[in-house]
Amino acid sequence: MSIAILKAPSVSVASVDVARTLRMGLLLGGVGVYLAAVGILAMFNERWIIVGLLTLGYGVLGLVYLVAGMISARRGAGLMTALASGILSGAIAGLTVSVLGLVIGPFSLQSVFTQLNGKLADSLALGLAPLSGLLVMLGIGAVCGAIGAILRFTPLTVRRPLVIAALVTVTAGLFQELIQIMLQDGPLTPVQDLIYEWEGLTAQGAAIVFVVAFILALIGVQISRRRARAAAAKANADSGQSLTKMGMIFLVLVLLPLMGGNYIGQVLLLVGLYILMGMGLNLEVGLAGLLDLGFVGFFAVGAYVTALLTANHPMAILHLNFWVAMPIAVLASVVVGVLFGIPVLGVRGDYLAVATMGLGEIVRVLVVSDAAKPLLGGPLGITQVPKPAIFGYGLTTPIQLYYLTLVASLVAGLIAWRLEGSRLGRAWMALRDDEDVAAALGIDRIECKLLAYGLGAAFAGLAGSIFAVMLASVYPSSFQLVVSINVLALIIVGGMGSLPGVAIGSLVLIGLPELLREFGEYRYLFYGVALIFMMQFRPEGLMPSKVRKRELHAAMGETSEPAVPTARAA
Amino acid sequence: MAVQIPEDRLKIARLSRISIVDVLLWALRIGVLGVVIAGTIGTLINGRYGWTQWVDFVVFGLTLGSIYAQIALGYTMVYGVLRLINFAHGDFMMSGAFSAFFVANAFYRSGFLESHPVPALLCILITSMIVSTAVALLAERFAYRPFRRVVGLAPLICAIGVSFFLQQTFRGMFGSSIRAYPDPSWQRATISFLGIEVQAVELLVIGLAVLFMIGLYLIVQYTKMGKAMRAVAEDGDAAALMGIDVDKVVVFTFMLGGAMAGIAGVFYCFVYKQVYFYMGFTPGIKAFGAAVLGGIGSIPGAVLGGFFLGLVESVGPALFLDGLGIPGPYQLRDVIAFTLLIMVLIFRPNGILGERLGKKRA
Amino acid sequence: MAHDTILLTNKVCCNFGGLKALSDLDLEIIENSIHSLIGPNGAGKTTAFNVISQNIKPTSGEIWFRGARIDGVKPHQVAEIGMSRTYQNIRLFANVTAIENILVGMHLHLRSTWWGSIFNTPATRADEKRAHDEALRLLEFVDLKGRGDIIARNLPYGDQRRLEIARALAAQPKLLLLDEPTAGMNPHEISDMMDFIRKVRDEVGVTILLIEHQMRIVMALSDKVTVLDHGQKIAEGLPKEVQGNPAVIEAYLGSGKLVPKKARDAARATLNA
Ligand SMILES: Nc1ncnc2c1ncn2[C@@H]1O[C@H](COP(=O)(O)OP(=O)(O)OP(=O)(O)O)[C@@H](O)[C@H]1O
Ligand SMILES: [Mg+2]
Repeated sequence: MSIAILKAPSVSVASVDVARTLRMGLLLGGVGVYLAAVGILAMFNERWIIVGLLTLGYGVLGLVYLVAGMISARRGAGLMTALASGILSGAIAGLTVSVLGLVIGPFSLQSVFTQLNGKLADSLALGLAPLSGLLVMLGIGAVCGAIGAILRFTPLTVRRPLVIAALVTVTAGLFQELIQIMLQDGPLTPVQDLIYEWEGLTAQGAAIVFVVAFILALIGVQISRRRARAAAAKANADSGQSLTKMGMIFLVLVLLPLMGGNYIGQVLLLVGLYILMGMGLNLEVGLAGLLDLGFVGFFAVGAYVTALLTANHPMAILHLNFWVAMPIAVLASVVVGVLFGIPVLGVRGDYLAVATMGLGEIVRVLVVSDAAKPLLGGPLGITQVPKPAIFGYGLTTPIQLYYLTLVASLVAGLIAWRLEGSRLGRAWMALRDDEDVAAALGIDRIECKLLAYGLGAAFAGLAGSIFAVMLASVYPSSFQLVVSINVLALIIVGGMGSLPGVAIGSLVLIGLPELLREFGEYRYLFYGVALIFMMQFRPEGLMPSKVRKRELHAAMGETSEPAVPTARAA
Repeated sequence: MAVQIPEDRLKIARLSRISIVDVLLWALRIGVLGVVIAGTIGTLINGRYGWTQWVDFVVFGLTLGSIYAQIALGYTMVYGVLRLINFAHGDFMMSGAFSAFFVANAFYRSGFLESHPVPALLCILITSMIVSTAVALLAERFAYRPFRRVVGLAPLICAIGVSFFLQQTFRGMFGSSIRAYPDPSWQRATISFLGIEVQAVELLVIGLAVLFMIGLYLIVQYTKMGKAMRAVAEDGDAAALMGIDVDKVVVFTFMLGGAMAGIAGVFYCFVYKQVYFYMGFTPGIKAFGAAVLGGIGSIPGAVLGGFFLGLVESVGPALFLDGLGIPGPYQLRDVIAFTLLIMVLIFRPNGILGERLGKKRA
Repeated sequence: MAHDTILLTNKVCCNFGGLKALSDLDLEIIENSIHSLIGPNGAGKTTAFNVISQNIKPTSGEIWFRGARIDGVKPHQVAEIGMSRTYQNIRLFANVTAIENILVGMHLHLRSTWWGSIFNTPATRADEKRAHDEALRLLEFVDLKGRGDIIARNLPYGDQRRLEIARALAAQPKLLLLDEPTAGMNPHEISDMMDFIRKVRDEVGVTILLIEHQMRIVMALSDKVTVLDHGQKIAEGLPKEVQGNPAVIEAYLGSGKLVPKKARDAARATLNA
């Protein structure tokens, strides 16, 4: 007995795949170094998750070590071996990051890499003397790596609640300002006093939040498992489920402004506008399969036409009421959408993306050029766009405009939903899948594609119209290519062809970065990573549509369902 | 023999051979051609530019063309092998340019750049090529490799992601400001020839570009790897069956493409004398247009397309737009380039050299 | 009256670069017949289909279909006046259900508009209802009853073939082009398919142009046979006439120098089977 205990660790440690573990540790250490060099670490270090104990920056570093441990621990090898490799690779990752801190000063890295300054070196040494800092960091890495390795071995029913609880705790820490405002002066004030202090989450609060969230999640996971099992027994419960999902998301969107002030309203308004645009681009990309990177053009047309028709500005041609100008703006966007679509009708697949991007860029350069200055005001744009009113009741605050956007999104969502199952929706599916076959079945490519461009443009135009009102002005700098990429990113993260996905994508990609200044600075970096990761690991998005999921997995060459291999051969 | 008389439910009138869209597309062609001709006539009549200026435009056009051609080469090779539009290729160039900037800056401050132009230039070029190649290889390994056998939009979207990632990484590491590339005296020298003043650096860029292109051509044509690359471009599956290691070929392709992008980065520094994180985007897209123009997958095509695009962009504003009385024609340079790009994608997606791509893409 | 021509091609050529995939092809298809197109691999049979359905524009020549000249028109217009096809390598919409595949095929004959769909008007709902009923009827016709909700990709191979035909029939064609409908099937499935093709002709009343490799099927099914080789028509006539034609045997077996006598005889035996 005792021999076995003594022997077991030595055997398992010997069976650690050292080369691979080292590689993983170095790789993740590299990620840590990258985060430091790009400046994310320094910026995240200014935000507490738990006051006085853990900043977001260290939290992220810990996560990196944890991942190192997790991926180098292999399940097949047994717990002890896994633990050993987890500890080793976590420690290596920690070491790599520490070494960066040590070399910053002597090699004066700051002269090239602006973010690698003395302050960062200090924080990488955890504020200790260089050598002890290094040792402590090594230890932290080892501990996190060990946790990662153990996590790998915990069953899903426990791991998922753990992750959820950690996420909830982090959220409670990061959004402390918002949450504290919500809790203040209400019946929940005692809760606030329990877990928060002035600056944020206390250690005791974090523990409470974590435990409570963990228990709730544990129960939730059990319930949802039972539900899933019941649902699996019933066939075709899927469409009903997505409707309830839709309804729940909508309810959340309606209630969100109650969270607080005008700033939230501003953010939500932006989220709403992107939902609207996402619905539009979803028609083009998600349903018709037309990857349109000039989408921002339609948004711009909506905004400019609204401004030209309503503003109190010398450039304006008329001074109409918003409710008259908005339909005209939408119509103008549709016309532009169709005109835009015509030349690229015959351009297929990936070439289309480049062609539409080129068209969008042409429009943008033209708008800022001297040639168009007398018409559109050049880089200075058009200002003083008045706010709309309903029955004499002005829609002036962002929250009021947000509700306007929400209604518009709802209508857009309804339209998209109806169209998807319709004759036109099927024709789009056919075009997306195989243009030649679609044409041979009598589907008019021109008509269907132009309808996709036109309808997609209508939503974007509407969003543009509200955008002009929101800013009370339009500038060409608001209509860069990145807007198209943003919309594309949000429907991809949310799930191509999925309506709830659009809302989720917009909340995550537009809402979060606005709320977290730290993310805001690096949002495009985050988008880039999101696009790469989503395409590699979850191309169907967070809330997939069934058909797209099948398509994407078929494209990745997976055959999750028993397929007939010869069907597409020959 | 008698052809059957149509039933009345047959609407022959609907079998029009020409749709409204065709008419509009023709109108687009004629419109663009009309603008070009009218502008050219207008410019030539009002005679604002002397012939020395035209020569200037042409030399500058060839210089720009060298940059585009170098980038287009990478596009075309990667597309040939992987059928992937590597959106991030312009950003490979950007990373090379940044490293060139840091090396040049260090040399400039120590006076080495001024005193020893040739070794300094060599160092700069090599650094830039190494960095661009490294970035290209990393992108291939971590972003593109999982899509090796994937069709559809996913790889393209991933490439857009890579492009964003690279731009934002450089922005994070080196800041978002525009940095001035050092400008030693030899970069400012001019050469007089028949009364025409030409910037020496422009001639240097053109000469180096031609040199590197010849080198690339030799590599692709005569080395074993180059031959394997062409085989994979022709038919990947067949090449794999013949025992060619496709993975290796792809890595090799990215290496060559990355090196070319690095050279383009140095050229860019010479011509525009600045670096910033977003610099790769526009030249990248334009160079893609050049690659398509020359027939994507074709190496001589990419070179021709690049030079053609450079010339049009440099001569175009003066020749086509000035004559129409458009204010600030030079602001519209990009409009000309993008119009060319779109016209090519619409009307000649197989390029001017008429590649046998109809078959491949079908 | 019994010999109305439904499709007529006149000196149709189709070149791919230097390759003459079709040269001066003259075809005449009689209404309500089963007409077979045969020829060795690469003869240009599929290309002929592509050109007839206007998937590829012919380089020169005229194509008349039901009294209308169709060369140079858009493929969907050809479908509109009554031509459908299947593909050699099955091209179903693989990621949607069988029913949805058929519904796409019915596109031409549904009257609902996009605005009607948005407002979900009674007319649209009635139209969709009719479409579903019709689709179920078609499924039953091709022996796929009860499999409407299966994703097309997950259907067995033979079912996919029949589903593709059902999708083509959903467009209510007068002329149906079938590109090797029996490829990859076992003898049992093949005889089912042959019965099925006859049933389509007799019950639905469509004319069928068929590409087929196996002589046995061609002999049993066709009213008329056209033989292609290297893009040229080398023989045409009743199955019996074509079978004995030396040019045809030559085309299938090559010039004879490379093929041993024994193999030639064996092959001739299969040809005559
Ligand atoms: N789109 C195309 N581009 C270039 N060449 C093509 C194209 N389609 C077919 N070809 C060529 O035309 C010739 C005829 O091909 P086709 O597919 O019509 O033959 P087939 O008679 O159908 O042969 P099989 O019995 O193998 O199906 C072949 O040499 C083929 O390579
Ligand atoms: Mg064929």
